[in-house]
Amino acid sequence: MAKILVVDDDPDFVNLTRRILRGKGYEVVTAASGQQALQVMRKEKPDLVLLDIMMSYILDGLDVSREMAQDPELKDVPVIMVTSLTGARAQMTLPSDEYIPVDEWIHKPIDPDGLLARVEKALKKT
Amino acid sequence: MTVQLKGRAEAITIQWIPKYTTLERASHWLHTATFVPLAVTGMILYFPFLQPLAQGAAGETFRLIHRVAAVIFGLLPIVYFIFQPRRLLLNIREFLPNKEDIGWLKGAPAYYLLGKHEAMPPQGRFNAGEKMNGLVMMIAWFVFGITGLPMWFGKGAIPPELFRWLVVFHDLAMIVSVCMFLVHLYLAVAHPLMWAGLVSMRFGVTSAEYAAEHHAKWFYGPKRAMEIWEAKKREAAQH
Repeated sequence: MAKILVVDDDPDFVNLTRRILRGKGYEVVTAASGQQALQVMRKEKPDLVLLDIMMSYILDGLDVSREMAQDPELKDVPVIMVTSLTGARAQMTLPSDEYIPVDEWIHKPIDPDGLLARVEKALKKT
Repeated sequence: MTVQLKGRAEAITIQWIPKYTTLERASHWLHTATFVPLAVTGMILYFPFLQPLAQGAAGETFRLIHRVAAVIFGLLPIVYFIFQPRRLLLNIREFLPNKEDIGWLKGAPAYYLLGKHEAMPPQGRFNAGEKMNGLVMMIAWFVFGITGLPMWFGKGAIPPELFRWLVVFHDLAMIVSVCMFLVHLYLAVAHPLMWAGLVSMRFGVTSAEYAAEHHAKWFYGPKRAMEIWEAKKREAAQH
């Protein structure tokens, strides 16, 4: 079964997500900050990363996904952003220097069925 | 900051950053709503020239208002601790001073009075001034509690000398916290650079642009925030 890395500084969210994913048979590893997440990924490469954005600082999660994109070992690992940050959705026109591609974007609080559907979809792409 | 979804033309631009929980905002405004009557009635009881107001039925009413407001003021942080202990501890940790706050003190006159943004080193979720305000209010809350409760319930039972010292410390806490409150009020309501602080305490969020500009260490992380600040200083020096 696929190995999923859950990265979030909120232990309640990590516990809830771990329970949802383990219920479907996924192997779950966790990290509480961007720095810790990269260490875990480089030690045991996951099949998918569920990544919070705002942890040690606001853009912590985005810096992780940027670093993953530059790492030949990690660039193909799909990333689902799970966040309470709110943003405006728009059609992409000109990529800026802050352009970061991710596979999925989920808002907190999460719906367990919705999360599992997105996880399955992201894993199928790999 | 823009995030694009892979394989799609759809992009998400982050606009709003959550800063305060609903309980934090409710506590803040209830604390304000109780602090003001506490300060006003406290000053009526404290200043000799206002003593005529503290006599008779009016005096009794002021004492009653002071005590009712004090109970709510005292209970709010306890309620916050019961419902969101992790957030409270996180905030207390962020209020603690560190050596980087010296940079804020050095840069504050040029930043607040002259609007020179490059003079202010990158700040965290709370800038050093907000941290000072939070810390002063926390200490004052504690001092008001340990001096006010014996003054309320221990009159006649505790030695007069100790009672006098309790009054002195209660009054000192009042003077310091009222001064801090006035600075906080001015910065939050009237200062042109700080208006977004009031918005975030009203709605719980702050704009990504404001966070990047005024709380760069919280937005970009310490390393990138310092790099951006150094570049900004170099640019200002060239002009």
